[in-house]
Amino acid sequence: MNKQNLSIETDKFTPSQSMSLIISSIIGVGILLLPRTTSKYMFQQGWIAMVIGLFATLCFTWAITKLITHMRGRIFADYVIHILAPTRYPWIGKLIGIPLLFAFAGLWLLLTALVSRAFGEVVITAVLVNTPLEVIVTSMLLVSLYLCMKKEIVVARVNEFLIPVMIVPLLILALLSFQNANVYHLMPLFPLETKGIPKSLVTTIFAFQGYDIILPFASRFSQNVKYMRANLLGIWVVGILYILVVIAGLLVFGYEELQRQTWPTLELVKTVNVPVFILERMEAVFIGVWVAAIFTTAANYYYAASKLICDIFHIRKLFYVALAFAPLLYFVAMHPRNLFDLLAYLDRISWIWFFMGSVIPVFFLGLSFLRTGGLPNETVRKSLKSLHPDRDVSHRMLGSGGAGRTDLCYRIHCGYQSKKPQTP
Amino acid sequence: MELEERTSVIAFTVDINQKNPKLLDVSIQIPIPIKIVGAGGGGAAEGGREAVKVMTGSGSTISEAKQNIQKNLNQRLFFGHTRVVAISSEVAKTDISDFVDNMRRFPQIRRLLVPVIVPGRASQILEKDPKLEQIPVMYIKEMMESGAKIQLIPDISLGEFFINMSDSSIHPIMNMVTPTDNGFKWSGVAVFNGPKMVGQLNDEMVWAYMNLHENHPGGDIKIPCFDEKGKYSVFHARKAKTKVKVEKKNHQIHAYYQVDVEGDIRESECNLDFNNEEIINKIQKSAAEVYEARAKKMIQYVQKDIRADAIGLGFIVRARYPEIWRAVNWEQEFPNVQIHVTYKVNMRRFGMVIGKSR
Repeated sequence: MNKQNLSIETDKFTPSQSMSLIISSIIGVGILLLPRTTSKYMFQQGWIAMVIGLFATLCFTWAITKLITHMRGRIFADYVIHILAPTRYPWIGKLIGIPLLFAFAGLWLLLTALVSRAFGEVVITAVLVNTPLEVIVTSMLLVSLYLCMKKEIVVARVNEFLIPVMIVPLLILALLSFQNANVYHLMPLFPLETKGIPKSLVTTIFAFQGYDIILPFASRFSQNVKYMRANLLGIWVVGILYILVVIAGLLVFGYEELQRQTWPTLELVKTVNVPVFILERMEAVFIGVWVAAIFTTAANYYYAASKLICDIFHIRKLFYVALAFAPLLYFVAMHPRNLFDLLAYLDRISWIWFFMGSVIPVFFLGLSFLRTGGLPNETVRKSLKSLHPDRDVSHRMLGSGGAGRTDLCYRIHCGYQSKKPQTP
Repeated sequence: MELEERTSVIAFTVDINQKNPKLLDVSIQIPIPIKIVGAGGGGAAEGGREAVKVMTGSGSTISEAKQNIQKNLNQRLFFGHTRVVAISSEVAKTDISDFVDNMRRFPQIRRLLVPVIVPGRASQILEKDPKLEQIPVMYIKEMMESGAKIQLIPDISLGEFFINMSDSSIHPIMNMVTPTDNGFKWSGVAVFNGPKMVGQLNDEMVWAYMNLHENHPGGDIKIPCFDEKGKYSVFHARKAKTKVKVEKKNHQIHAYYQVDVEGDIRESECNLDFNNEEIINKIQKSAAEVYEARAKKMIQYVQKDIRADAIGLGFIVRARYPEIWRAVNWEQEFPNVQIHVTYKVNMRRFGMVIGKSR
């Protein structure tokens, strides 16, 4: 592949920003529960489910990235309606599409609320025992709201900036906890607990949810840059971190002890004895890191939902939409009565999240390919065919090849293009 | 909560109330910062027994007892700095599940603190002053840590105890500490079956356990002299490496422990010439016999007397021989397992002299 020519487009996402968006949206509440949930059905082999889950996630991420690159900088709300509209009855697209988009926005708002609540629960259990839950949840929502005042590119930069802050300490903590490891806790490796695989796989795939965050931001993806490798790399980073955490949890505690812990990863951090006596209790570091992890998940989804609503109604000021949702989010966040309720909600929402965030995009991808034969639009292909009757008009040709062809593509596209992207 | 508004508890103990056996006594030791050497820089600093205050409260649960202590205090109790918890053997023999539950639910408690069992009343240990630590009870923590480092004492933190407690293939153990006239003594380990203490391994048994389960050499052994009765050579093991093999033959499970020990002669009362290979072989063999006898005594005790798999054989079987593990109910099967232990002793060095020094 040739080195890609990045022109100066300050409002476009770079591949590393796309990757950080994915990584930081995935890493959130799940990592605290991970060793317990994965070992629940597969016992000492829980990490194997994690590996399978990683590969499944790679497939879904591939599909989503394929979808957004296929849609070339078009707004999520627009292309959903467009994809769903049969050529003869375009109104059907709106009829199905708009409720679906509302469902997406609702899901993302719900996620913001529940993630903030889970954050509050952990902070109260572990560090700020006397701080009211309301204060913690409110401050998390306010910080997320603050991000909603900014442009999309700022969201991407914040994510990119926080990535090392999150990953490096997590990695160090995971590796440090290996000092208490007992290899026998991982054995026997065979025979495989085949009965537990489907159930464990469900929980691991849930833990990997979060890559759907790039859907609403895809209109800011540059058309001249390939994001596939970066996005898949992001999943690999998360996957390796997750597998490390699960293996560390299993090695230190064994699956039986893990089942008795509410926040196993936090307990794992408590067992870490740092050789150099800087901080006696590593929980402080971990919670500090975890603030960043939760903030990026909550704020990204808050932004995504607000943006989606803006796009549906063509509203300019995202902040006002976000502000309108803030009280609603607060009440949703305070709704679960207790920890048990919260975990049950999170579990239920994971199903919806998986369905909306992974299955539906794959369906979109299939539908758009079915309808266009791998091309942006049937009409494009027809017109190109008429222009170059002797050449096979392939997807590649329409791609990032040259300005002239993309131009042509847009000229034909403009029938349904809501906003004409600037050609470089 | 402000730092100055806390009363830090450095150690606490759990006992059965002497008047009403249904109640539990919880005693806490609180360091007095101004009396700790080095603090404040004033002349008042002293350390030791005077630097701490001991308080007791009773209640039907541990939390209630703690709350009753709180009633007498000007500031709020804080357990984040707790380093030692001691449970009396009487409580341990009835049930420690309340204690474990309290420890596990309480976020201030850390997994790295030192749990010990005390024969008799546990609160005694809060009254002792070994004079070597500013806060007396830290002596126990240091004792356990340095003992674990030189591999004389099993390294059992609270977290480790919880893990073994949850694990269905091993019975947990906990170190025992006995208060002496002005200090403390490590006195073996207590073995638990579920939440109940069922037995106690003395130091020799613990060392055998450490050979078999943890690849640690444990304490020195005395090898009787060939010529004179009542005189011994002392062998100090530096390394121990254990291999375990488990087999099922005619519905009988056999476990073969093969321990390779490597070390030096530290003292020899016998008139032995270590220049002679024959003598070396002979003394190696008799060292192995002493080791085997020690291990046999321990195995006899855990298998037949207390019937608790404290040596973690089930843990090994589950990890490495899953087919045997699944076929039997280990809890019932463990006392019937044939455990064969063989030691191979390698004497590497004999000190700075050869033969008997005069």
